[in-house]
Amino acid sequence: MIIDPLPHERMLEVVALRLLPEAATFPPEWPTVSGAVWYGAGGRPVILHCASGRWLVTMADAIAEKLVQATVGARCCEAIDLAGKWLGLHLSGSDVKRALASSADTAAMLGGHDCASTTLFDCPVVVAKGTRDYYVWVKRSYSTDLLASLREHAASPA
Amino acid sequence: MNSTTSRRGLRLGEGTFSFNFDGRRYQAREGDTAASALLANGVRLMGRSIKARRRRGVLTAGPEEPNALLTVGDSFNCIPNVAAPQLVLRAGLLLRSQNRWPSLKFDVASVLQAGGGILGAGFYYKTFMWPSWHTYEPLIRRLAGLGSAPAACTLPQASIENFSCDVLIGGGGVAGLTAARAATRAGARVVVCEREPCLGGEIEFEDARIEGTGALAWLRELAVELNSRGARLLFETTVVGGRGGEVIAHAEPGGLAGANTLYRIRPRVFVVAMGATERPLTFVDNDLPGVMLLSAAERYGVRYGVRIAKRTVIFANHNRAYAAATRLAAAGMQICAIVDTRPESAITEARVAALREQLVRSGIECLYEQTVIAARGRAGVTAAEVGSITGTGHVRVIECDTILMSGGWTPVTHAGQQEGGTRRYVPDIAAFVADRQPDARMTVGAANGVFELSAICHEAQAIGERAARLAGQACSPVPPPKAQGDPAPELRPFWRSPAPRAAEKRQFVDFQNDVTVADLRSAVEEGFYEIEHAKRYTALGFGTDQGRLSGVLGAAIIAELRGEPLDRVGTSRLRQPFHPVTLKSLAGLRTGAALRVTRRTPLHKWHLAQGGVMGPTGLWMRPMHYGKAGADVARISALEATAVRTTGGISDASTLGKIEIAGPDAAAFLDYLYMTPASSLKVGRSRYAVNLREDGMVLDDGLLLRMGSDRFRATTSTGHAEEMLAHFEYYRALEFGTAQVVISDVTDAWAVIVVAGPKSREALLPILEDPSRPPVAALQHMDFTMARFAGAELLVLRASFSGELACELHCPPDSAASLADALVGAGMKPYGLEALDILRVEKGYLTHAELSGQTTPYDLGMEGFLKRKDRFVGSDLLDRPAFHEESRPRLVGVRAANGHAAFLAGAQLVGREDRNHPCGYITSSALSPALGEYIGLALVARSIGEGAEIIARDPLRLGDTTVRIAPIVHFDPSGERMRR
Repeated sequence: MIIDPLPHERMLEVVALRLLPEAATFPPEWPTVSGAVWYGAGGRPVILHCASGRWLVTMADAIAEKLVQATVGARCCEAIDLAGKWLGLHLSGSDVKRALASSADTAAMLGGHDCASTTLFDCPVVVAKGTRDYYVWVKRSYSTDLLASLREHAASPA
Repeated sequence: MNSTTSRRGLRLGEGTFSFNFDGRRYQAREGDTAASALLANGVRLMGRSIKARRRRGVLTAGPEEPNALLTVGDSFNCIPNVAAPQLVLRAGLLLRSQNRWPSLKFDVASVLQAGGGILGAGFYYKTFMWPSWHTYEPLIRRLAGLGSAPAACTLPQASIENFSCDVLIGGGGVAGLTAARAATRAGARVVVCEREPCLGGEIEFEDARIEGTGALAWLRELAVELNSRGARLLFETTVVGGRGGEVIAHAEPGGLAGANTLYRIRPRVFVVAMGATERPLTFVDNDLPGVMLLSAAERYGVRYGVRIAKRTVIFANHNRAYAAATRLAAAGMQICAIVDTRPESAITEARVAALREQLVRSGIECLYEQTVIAARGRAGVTAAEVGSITGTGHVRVIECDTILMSGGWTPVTHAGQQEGGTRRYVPDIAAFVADRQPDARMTVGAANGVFELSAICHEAQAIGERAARLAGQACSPVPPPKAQGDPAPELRPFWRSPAPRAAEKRQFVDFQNDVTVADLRSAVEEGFYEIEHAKRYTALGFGTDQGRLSGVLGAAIIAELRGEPLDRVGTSRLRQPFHPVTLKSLAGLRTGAALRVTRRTPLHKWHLAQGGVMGPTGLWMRPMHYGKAGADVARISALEATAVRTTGGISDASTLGKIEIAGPDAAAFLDYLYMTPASSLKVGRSRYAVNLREDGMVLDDGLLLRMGSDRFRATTSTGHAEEMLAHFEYYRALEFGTAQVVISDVTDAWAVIVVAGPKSREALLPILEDPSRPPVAALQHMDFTMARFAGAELLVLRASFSGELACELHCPPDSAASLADALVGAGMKPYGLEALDILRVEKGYLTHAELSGQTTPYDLGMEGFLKRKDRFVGSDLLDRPAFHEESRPRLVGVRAANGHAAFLAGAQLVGREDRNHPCGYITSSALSPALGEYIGLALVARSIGEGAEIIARDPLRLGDTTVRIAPIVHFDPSGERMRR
């Protein structure tokens, strides 16, 4: 398994002001279905509908910025700056699934979704599917432990 | 036949090697288990029983083995209690027998056998009482326990794998594989867990045919098909438990706790096809080496080419004995007699009658309505005493070296029962089978009480198809495979041979725990007649086999002693795990320092570089003090606190919970959540705020910052951060469901550095970028503003938890270390949690010790916050009389009456006259460097006023200290220092 930290970038949490927001109030590209992801250039997850009415937005894409402005401008959501909260990791390689399965059956957990808020090795994360890989954002205070667990499981015999 | 090189068995390879058992070298063949190799070498004595230290040989050929438990390895690096029939040998393995000293052949403690009943059920309540139980306790403790734990745990790392599937099948015998075939053909994702290293189960030694071919060949083809259809076959993997839809399977390659894997499987459907466990029968001295289960003898023969006897007596209560006898005789064993407890008329099946005729013609005697009364011999079986099942008439002695017994089968039903399923008694097979099962659980084959091969195939095909349908696969029924195996058992219940009372002490029911019929009788007579009570009183079903051999047998004998039917007595509940699983397997890689997850602040490495001694507070690691670990913590902490009071210092408050609340209804929402209103707060101001629970108890305190007209940041205590977030989310969903408000946890988004002390402002201002300095310099107490440091934006809040002029600096985590460096460079020294505690106790500030969830706002002197007329969480119950009773505690300060004595948090407070009734306790204490004496906070009865002297009782630490009730704020009561 190859573990690549994602570059530090501005991140926002966009939260719907109402518990059950109407899909019509969002821009068409906005992933309104729970667990859906809007992917940016190179297949990177950019807008992750990680919990009901809650989106994690990695500002890695200029279009994302516009979409967030449109969403917040429509007064259906608030955006909260979370620059330091999450540490992003890109996990690739043939044994990713096995290493993650030491903690949770990630593939089954995601099921038909592209992302989910969950825990891996007891660390709170948002995990998203890539094309053949995974993206994981872990709360910063847990990141040392998660990285250690991932490295240890990647190194353990199959 | 038993020579190492000439043996032929399904599991044997060609290679030979040597191994060591109790200091002697023996030869083994590749594929041999410890039991098969020892038997092949003529070793019958493999262990001693736990209490009476009776000689024991191997009884079974499976993981349920109660007698032949071995320790593998030397005393430093060993694994105890390894079942010899499961342990696959490899060259150089060091094996030791257990429960003996100094040797297996001669054990000093075997003298206890002579003691007869002194170690009977509940002996610890009845014997060893004079002069005191403790006189004997060391010896009994030395004798107790199965094996010995190693000096160090050097087991290889275990791993854990989580996965899901459509259909999980526990058991790779004909039933499980037929069901697997049906499910995979329907397109289901199937996983099969088989405890043995190969598929087949009991079919290995039956003369069975399926679809016109040998059963084993058919199974081999089926395995290829399953693999090609994507089914996952896990060998040497046993389903050991489960809960809440999750099934736990444990892979133990070679039967040895080594590089094990624990599978946590979430199947849509779970099919239990784990077969049945053959039961022993009870007769006098049925534990002698040489008494063995009938199926075990067959297994050792077929799998390992071991002929376990020269002359044997077969003792059973069903038809299978005749088929087994035919095979064993064909393998060269001399069968002296078949002792059948049933009448001859019980044999109705023509195939069995034919087998019997053939056996009789070959000179094997078949005895009906007869039983083995007793085994004869000392070191092993030398003869069997055979007589009528009624206990009357002539007793014959048949010379033999083994007695092969079979009392029927107990279906393996643990997987469902452990999850709340029930069992029902089926008289035809004298066994309990699964009844009501948890959702999507099914049982098939022998595990379901079906023992005839053709019936098993029919049932398994249907179950496999049903499982596939339940898992969402379209499936049309197809005919099951045609099969013929051993005849139906036609079993008649028989549990124990008649014996005089005195001999019941030698009629063993549970071999591993030395539970005899006499023990069960004793339990029933002493009132422990309910099965669960009898189990606990006698240890019936304890230990590594968890009652698989003895559970139903013991229940049947209790039923006989109670004069009740077996189904009314029932059996004890099966517990997880099904077979022993090491704690290391359960932990996987999460061992040692990685046992639990740890949270680190953005300054963690910085603290270490500064010499911070880190300690856990909840999940967080925080610096307790700076300096060498093991140094005088009190002295260092006092110096750190003094530095804050004289010049200044910095501390890491990143662990404080931080929640951002935004939206048009944010202020109204917070007004409802907090005892202190938020809507009256001006932008750029903060306020001390307290939350109550619905019952009016104080939940937490913190600060509320108004960041904008509809945006707030709430800080919470470190310990309550998660609980407060849940509290917010709960009321947002429950009572503000239609409001426009959002909540976000920003704890990890911001590092927080506190700079405190009389010179803190002078240290802070120069390191900020120029435009930021004037607004920060102008900050009043509880004001905040945004500022910039080295290009990063900071929130600077003037607030104090030390009583000194202080600011909280909320900064991006990546800037935290350079900001801390800059402040240290400006003369601020870091101080740890111990110093912070001293500072806050001096000021009477609260932490979790006072906000314990058991204190009201009145207890804590917060009446001043309760002037609101509108409702908020907890307000409805604030007026209840119990909150205002004189017996309620009140927060006070305490000091030593003589000005120098020590007292500690946790000490109980009692009156000087009545020292038996506590009137409160000390919540926090510290040796104050500013005041030069011990000070503290306490919750005491309201009737005790300021100036009163009471006793702090601390019998385990400091003894009694007289303390005086003092004001809560010990230092700078006017608060002048922090408002400078």
